[in-house]
Amino acid sequence: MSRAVDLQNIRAGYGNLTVLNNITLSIERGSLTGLCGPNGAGKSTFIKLCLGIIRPQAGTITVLGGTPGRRGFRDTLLRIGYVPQKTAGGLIPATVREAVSMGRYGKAGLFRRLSPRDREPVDKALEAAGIAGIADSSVRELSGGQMQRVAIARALAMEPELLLLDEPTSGLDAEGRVELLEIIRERREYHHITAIMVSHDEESLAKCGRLFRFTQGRTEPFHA
Amino acid sequence: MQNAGGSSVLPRDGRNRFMLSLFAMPFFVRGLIALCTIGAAFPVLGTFILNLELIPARFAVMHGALLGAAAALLLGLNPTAAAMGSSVIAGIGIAAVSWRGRVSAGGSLGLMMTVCMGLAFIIFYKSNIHAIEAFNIFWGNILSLTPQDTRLIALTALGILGFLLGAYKEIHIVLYDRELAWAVGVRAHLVYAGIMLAVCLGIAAAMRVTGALMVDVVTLLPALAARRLGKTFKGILLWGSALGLGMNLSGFALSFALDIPVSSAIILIGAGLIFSIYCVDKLGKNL
Repeated sequence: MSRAVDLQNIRAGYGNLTVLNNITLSIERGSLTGLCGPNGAGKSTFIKLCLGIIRPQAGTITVLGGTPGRRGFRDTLLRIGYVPQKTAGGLIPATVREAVSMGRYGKAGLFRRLSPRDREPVDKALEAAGIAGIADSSVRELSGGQMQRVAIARALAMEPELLLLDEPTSGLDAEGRVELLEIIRERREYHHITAIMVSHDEESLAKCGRLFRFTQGRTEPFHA
Repeated sequence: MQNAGGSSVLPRDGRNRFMLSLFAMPFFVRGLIALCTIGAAFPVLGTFILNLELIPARFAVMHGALLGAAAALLLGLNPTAAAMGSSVIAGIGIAAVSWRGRVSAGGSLGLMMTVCMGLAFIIFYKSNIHAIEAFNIFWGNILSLTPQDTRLIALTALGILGFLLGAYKEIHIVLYDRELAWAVGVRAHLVYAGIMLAVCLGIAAAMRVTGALMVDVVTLLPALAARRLGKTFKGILLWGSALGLGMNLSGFALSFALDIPVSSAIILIGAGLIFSIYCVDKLGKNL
């Protein structure tokens, strides 16, 4: 099985602060991998490294064959669905449909409107995340759990090969957590996607094929 | 101006004839064109500034534009064009820093502002720039716009609207969440640079109309009011344009009626509008 994500001797952080120190980690394509560990251990930093939002201070990283931060990585980003811990979006309003459609903006291209080809996966994602009924509501009116569903739907609308989920179950009730895990299972089974999930939720982590615990800037395999 | 708009000097028929005759005067028409185009387009910049937290950055750009205009007066160049050039240079520096989210905390902006202001004052003090010219830069003068100024202002306004219409979805997501914009593969750096360019050019273009220190009157005030009224991004932008246009034209009329500077009159109307909207909003929530 080829690798979806490959980190070799990565050191990364923010300014003078080193969060990840000499990390080597490989994640196979098609797998569901869980990342756990205390707050500030570097789990979200790992996700941001994979997206090229931050760059490594040392070492090499490959995601779906591309190198984050390098020229041309934007094409790889279009194949990655990202569910952030929190979305800013407080000041500028958007409807649920608009917020989910944002997942297609990169694929549609600069100065181009969304085509029917883009709208179809948006509709499907709204259905899958259970928010089709509130598609015309403003995201400002949503609860934390509903916002989380919007973020998940946006990632699904991208039709990704790799899903990066940063605390996706936070704010979700028990039913929502089960639904999310079912969505991931179904996407892996029928679309062969790779999913990497940062979580503190033991129930969610138990569904992961592999687990890594982040502690003090290092990682180690872990069994739930 | 007192004679022009004051009711105490001309009888009603005479006043009407005078008002109509104003439209035959090129300087008046130029001012009106500038106010209309700025009113419709520049509240968009206010929405950018408010949502990307560019308040300190736009202040630094204002000072950069002021220095450029002062240097242009010294060299006998067009102050509006020079202000646009210098504000873009200032904006490039600020954009590089602000993308990383350090603008609000950065003391470098304060340094830049004071240096620009200091240099501008040295130019005014040491050169033979006519006081009224310097005064026009600080406080603006809608009736002193040259044809070239008017063209630059109108082109800038059209450029801003064109950028907004062309890159609407990209602008929306960058204002919504920059990190998310990057993660979904939008060329967020490019869009952000476009936004900064629009803000810089707009601030410099508005300077001849409102004065360097009151550019906010055509950008932030209508955007602030629109933010309370618009329920969607499109709604905020449309409300901003409608309010900007209305504020500018009614401010122009008020300035004639009260014999006060146009920018001050627009501020009075804008502040009154924001206060009214706030009160109606509060009242509506309490009922």
